[in-house]
Amino acid sequence: MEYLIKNGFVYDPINNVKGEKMDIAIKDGKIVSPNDLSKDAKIVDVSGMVVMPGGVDIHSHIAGPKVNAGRIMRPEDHYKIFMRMVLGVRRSGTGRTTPSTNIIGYKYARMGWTTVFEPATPPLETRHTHEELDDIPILDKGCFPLLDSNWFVLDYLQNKEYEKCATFVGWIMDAIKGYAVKIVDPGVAEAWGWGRGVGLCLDDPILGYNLTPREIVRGLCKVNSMLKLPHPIHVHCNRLGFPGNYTCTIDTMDAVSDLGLNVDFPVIHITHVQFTGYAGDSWATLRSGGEEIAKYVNNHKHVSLDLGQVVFGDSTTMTADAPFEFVLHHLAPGKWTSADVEAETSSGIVPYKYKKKNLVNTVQWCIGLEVALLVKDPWRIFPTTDHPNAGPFTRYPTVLSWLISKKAREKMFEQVNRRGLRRTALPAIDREYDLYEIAIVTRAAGAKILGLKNKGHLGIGADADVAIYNFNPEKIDLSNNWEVFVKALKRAAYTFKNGVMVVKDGEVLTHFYGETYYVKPKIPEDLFKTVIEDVKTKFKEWYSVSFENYIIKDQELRAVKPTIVETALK
Amino acid sequence: MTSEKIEFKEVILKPKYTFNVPVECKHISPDVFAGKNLEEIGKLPILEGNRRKVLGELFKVEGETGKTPTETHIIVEGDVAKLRRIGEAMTDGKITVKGNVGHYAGFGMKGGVITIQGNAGLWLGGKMKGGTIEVFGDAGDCIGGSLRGEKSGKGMKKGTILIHGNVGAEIGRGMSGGAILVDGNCGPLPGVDMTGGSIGIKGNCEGKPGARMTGGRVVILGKVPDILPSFYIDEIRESPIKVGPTKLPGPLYVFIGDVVADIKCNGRLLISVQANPQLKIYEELLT
Repeated sequence: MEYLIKNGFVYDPINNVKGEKMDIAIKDGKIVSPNDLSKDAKIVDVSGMVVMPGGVDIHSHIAGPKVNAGRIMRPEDHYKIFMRMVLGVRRSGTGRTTPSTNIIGYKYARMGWTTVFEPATPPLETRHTHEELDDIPILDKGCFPLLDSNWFVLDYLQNKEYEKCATFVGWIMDAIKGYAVKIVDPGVAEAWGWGRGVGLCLDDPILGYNLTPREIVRGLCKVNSMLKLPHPIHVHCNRLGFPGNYTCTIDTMDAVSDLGLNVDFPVIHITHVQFTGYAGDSWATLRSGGEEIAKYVNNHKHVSLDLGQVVFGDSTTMTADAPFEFVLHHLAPGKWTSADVEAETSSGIVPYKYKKKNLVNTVQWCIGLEVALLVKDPWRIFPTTDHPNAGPFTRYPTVLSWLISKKAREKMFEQVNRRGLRRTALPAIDREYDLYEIAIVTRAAGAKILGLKNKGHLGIGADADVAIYNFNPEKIDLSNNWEVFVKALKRAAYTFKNGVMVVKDGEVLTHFYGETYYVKPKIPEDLFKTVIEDVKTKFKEWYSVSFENYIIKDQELRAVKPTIVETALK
Repeated sequence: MTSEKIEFKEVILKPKYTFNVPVECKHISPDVFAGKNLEEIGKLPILEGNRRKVLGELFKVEGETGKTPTETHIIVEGDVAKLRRIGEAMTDGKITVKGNVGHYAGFGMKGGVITIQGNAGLWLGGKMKGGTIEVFGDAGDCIGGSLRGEKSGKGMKKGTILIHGNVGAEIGRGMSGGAILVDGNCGPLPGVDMTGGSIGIKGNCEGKPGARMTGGRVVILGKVPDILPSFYIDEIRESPIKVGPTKLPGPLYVFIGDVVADIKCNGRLLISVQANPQLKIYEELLT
């Protein structure tokens, strides 16, 4: 099917298109020049609407064993939210913070997002993650395996065998179809296996190993640059969720500053920085550390951030940081799940409700926005909600409205805790994003930091993922009419995915499946052989599954898209 | 009661045939019927299985409706054991079912009276906030209860449920107020997760009364196989205790708990002394 999208205001930051009236031509799932279209191309008139590339979400827990556990333990999340089946068009589903697979795809598509990455999957259980990702319609997806407490990685890092470690990481990416290195509270999952590790900081030793979290972060950062993986290490910092942890976050960023001196591209991505941006000594004296973090990021080019912005309401916190979930369970009594994945990692789930009148929750809400507004470079900041930890992804339009309009923020100031508000710098910030910056943070920057060359832009040859929103940026002043913006983003006028019209007027039109991205590093054969022999022998001792069953083959997945990476290994 | 002074206008619903699949209609409620004529009532949406139908296709509608919910009395004549969600969120008026009724009758109701002359299904008066429900037959599980997965205290808040027959498991699940009075026997786990209100059971209980309770009281006059180990004995109460409209006679063992749920032990479990000779060992602890 061929389409000609006519007369829209196009925002395409990668190609430097800033709200110009342009025609976008789609043919065979790619963007082409309008001259290449045949006569029977369907014309979609979008005059007075905004045309952007399909959204890219780099951090959203949409699949995996912990998401499924969250669904099981929260039936009350599924009573009221229901999406009806339409015969031959779409399937049914339920859930708000832990939605079922089908409606994850539909709801993202309805908002104009087309590429989503699941940021934490234990390698052993990644087969489950892929089964679930395969079941999510419309979206292109991928997953980041957790490697910070993996015994192989820890052994190699302890012996300072970085080449071998790189080989192992390269092999595991290919073996379990991962995309980037995820580090969650480096080493703490291992310490938690011994019943320790609550509030471990960057230079505290990890029980059972002669290592500190700093060495793990630095080691894996080195490994990442040896392998030349498309995405930097994706780090969830130590002491997440503890007051006064912003120093730890800055230390983590600083720990790899020397590794990022000569590179243009970030070497470390700090995820859900809101949870690790607290100043103060206790919950009672909690303040925002957002300013200091933003200052560091403005002065250093090797860091990128995503927010984990709190949206008030119900949420389900799920993370591989099991000790923190143990702490949270005691702060917010109720349900709690904790799990240990043999030789690899751990995880925990606690349902949590963010309340507007709560001091801590208000400070949390402020920190995310403060960081987003104080960081000057929009290419290194991503407004996520860390779905479902700080709120469901369906609230992205609201989060973006807070960035685009000071009045929207001021309206929230009236509703939140006043005392909490005074502890942050947010009320004094006047900055408002423009639509071009919104297009950067939600689309272009995400595609760039993930190394997806065909996503996040509308240049010729790019994947035909297009989102069209029904509001006129020339006529409407967004900082005063943020409701129009929210309404338009909640239900896109059109969404195209791979050249197929999947959404029209906010309704899903069709059900099909996207591709799964993974990286395939090229590793020298002799190095690979020595490492794999080592892994095979240890695997028999350490794992409850056999080595052959651990590896996921291409044909087990619905549709794969390997990215072949030329490594620096010799 | 004030309702005696009101002149009720009666609407009579007669099922046209026996329902074989679940029929769901939350519109059978005085709030919806009030001010509508019979034709409009016949056009209210209803689900039979997965088919969308109108009320007139399933029921013969007779009588006349009142102008306000207060003076509307809905009478369902016949056995409607598959009819669910009648009287959902009703605020006033009356519903009488002359037969059995299905699940979720009076779910989340805020006022008024529901009388069921046969048996009732699960979640009868679940999450109700006021009003009265009277059942002359048996009732199912989770009466006045919260839904699965909800926090304790999210069940019924106020109002009275009277059941003259037997009931199933987990009655008063997560209730935080109001009263449930059962003349017959009950299944396991009465008052699980409750934080307030009172439950009275005149018959026997299958076990585990008051599990995870943090407030309120459960009174059982019949036999209880055992008390959970997380309850402590407090005293023997001689005087009768009030549950809803009636007083249940003593003497009763008073247990406090559940210590597993709350260290403050605000929950009270009152078990008949005469019917439970096996609990005599607890008396040694009462020195």
